[in-house]
Amino acid sequence: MEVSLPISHMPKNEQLPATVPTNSTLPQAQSSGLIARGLAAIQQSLSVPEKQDAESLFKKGMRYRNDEGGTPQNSEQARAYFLAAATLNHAEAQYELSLLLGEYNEWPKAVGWLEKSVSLGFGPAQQYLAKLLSDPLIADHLSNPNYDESQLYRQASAWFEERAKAGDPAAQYDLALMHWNEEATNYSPEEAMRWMKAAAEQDHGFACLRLGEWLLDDKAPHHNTEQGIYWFSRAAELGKSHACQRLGDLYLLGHMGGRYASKRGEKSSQLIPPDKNSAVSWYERQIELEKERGSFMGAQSLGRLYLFGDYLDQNMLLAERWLLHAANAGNLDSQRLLGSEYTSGKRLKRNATAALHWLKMAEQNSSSSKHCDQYQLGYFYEHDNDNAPNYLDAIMWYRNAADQGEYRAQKGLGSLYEFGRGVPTDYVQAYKWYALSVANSYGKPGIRDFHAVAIKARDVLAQKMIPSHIAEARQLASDWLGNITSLHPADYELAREGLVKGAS
Amino acid sequence: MNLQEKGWLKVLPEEQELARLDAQQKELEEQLVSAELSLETAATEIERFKQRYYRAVGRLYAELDELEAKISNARLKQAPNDPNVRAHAKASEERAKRTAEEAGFVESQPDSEPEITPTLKQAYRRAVKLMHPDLALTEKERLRRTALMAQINLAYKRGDLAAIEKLIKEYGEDPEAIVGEDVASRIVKTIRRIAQLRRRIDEVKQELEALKKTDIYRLKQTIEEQEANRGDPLGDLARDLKRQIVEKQRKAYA
Repeated sequence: MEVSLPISHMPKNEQLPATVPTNSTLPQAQSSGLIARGLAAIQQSLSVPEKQDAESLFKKGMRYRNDEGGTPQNSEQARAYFLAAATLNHAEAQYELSLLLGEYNEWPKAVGWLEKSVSLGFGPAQQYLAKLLSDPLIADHLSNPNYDESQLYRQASAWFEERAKAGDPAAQYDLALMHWNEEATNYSPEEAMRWMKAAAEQDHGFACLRLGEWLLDDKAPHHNTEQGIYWFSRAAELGKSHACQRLGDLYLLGHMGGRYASKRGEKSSQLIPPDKNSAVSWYERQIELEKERGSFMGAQSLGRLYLFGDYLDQNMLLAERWLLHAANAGNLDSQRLLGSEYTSGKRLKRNATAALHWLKMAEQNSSSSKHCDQYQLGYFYEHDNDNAPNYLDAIMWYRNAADQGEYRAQKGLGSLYEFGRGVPTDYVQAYKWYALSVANSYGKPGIRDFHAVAIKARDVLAQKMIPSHIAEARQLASDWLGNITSLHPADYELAREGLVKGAS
Repeated sequence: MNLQEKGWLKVLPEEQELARLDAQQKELEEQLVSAELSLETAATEIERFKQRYYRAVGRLYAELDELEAKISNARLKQAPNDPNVRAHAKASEERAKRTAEEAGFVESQPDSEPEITPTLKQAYRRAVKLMHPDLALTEKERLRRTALMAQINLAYKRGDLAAIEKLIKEYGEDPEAIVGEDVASRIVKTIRRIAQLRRRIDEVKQELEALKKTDIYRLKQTIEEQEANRGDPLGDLARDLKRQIVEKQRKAYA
């Protein structure tokens, strides 16, 4: 037997078994995006600074709330800062927090903070509570059931008056609006005018706008066209695009009734002789101001004026220019209008490629009425394609729209099935879609004519069918209606009724 | 042993040394098993928390990012030539894609057991003590044990008590059990085991430390602390995200 020191038995280092990781559950080294984000969000929510005083917390919150001073709008941050300031009994922060919470429908909390702010005597909170006292959203959550509306209102107006007298334009503006309210106990147009003017003279943009509005009201005793125009143009200088639009309309029409007043059968008395050139330059100013905010209402509206020529001389070049300006910026109405104008060729020159482009853009852009745009695309492929009808695309778009209950698309789909366009002729499918078109257009006053046409199409088809096929198609239509979830409940009820009543 | 301790038998110095080393090995084995258990438990709890977290907010984050991508694409349509806008649109689209993948992946994972029972922990302890690869003396045995250990860990993670017990039963006798050998060989083997045990204990401790530095562990700790104080941070986060979604929707469809 060999005798040796233990150490000689020790294997050399390289003979030691290799290290093999045994723990399979270790987290991967790669960091996960959502976990880091959740961690940051939760840590941030826990670490709203507490050392700062209430006022500076509140101001920070306002910066996040209103997109001020280079601080991007962020309601989360605003809320956190308001909450911190509100907890330190900052009445204005409590009021702002309450408004913010109301926007999120967190009424119990919103009302709680509102009451705190009221109890600290904050005027806007008192006014707000007075206004909404009977609203169940508020009333159901009040901890004190004994508020008195007129007392709150008096307290609020005293609060505003104190500050208005001290020269605060925002308080002057609010006080003026309180005096303007006919139902208020302190209703006084003279006081309202006085305070509104005081605010406007301090370059309060909304006050200038409101003052212009009041002075141009020809039924009011204080009516003064010249001064009204002056205050509107002041508001425009202060960047209020709405003032430009109102001035444009005034110069275009000569009155303040607006472009649709005559269509509504309203009479507005003439204030100035119309001046189209001035109108256009105000509209162009409006477009400039709106552009900064990413809004394109003015361009769309000016494009329409040139296109239809009701008030301005018809000018296709300018119409196209302004509509394209708005449409390129994503304005849905302009995209739709261009799509239909380029299709019909009634006013703008017919251009199938451009029409298709804008119809598609509108379809992508629209949200609540997407099915209408899908129907328009289907219609385009069926009827207006430059080369030849493209039934396959027509079916696709009709189908998308029809599945959401678009009655015109359903009828279109029915006729494609009836005459075997893009699909093999299939009377059962055709009848099903006609029947659904009848059902979905049932009981809607604006589309009675269409409803009658759809019934006729269905009944003409029925003459070519055997009863068992008709019964099958009706069953399919009824099944479709049973499965659809995208219809508005009221429309759904109507369609159900229409399917049954229209069947006879 | 008893007789030796009581001095009834003459104890050789080597035998004394062996006894000391044996005791040390036993002590280290205990330490190792505890360390492995806490590491594995932490990892399992993290896994469970991860599922809870993703179920609470994964989908919301995905929705939020998708909306943001939509908004920045809309902006790109308004300013197709602005390189900043383009870069932002691209980045937010990529982020939306990543988030959707991340949220979807965890959602597709099967449910895990609700909690780790003491019985399960005991079984795990027994199994580890028996089969830990760092108790092996040859490469072959070590590899065999490594595979077994992976199975034990998986079973523990699943909360599968029966599987662990089956592994223990099937393992049977330790093929390297140190019996019937001379004292010198036993000392050598014990010294080696002690070295391996020490190394692994350090390793496990480091792994546990590393685990505690991960975002997911910190998130879990933060949330559980809040919950212990009757807070609902995960619910608050979900509500916040919903609010952000509503806001973005308004923006996207404005």
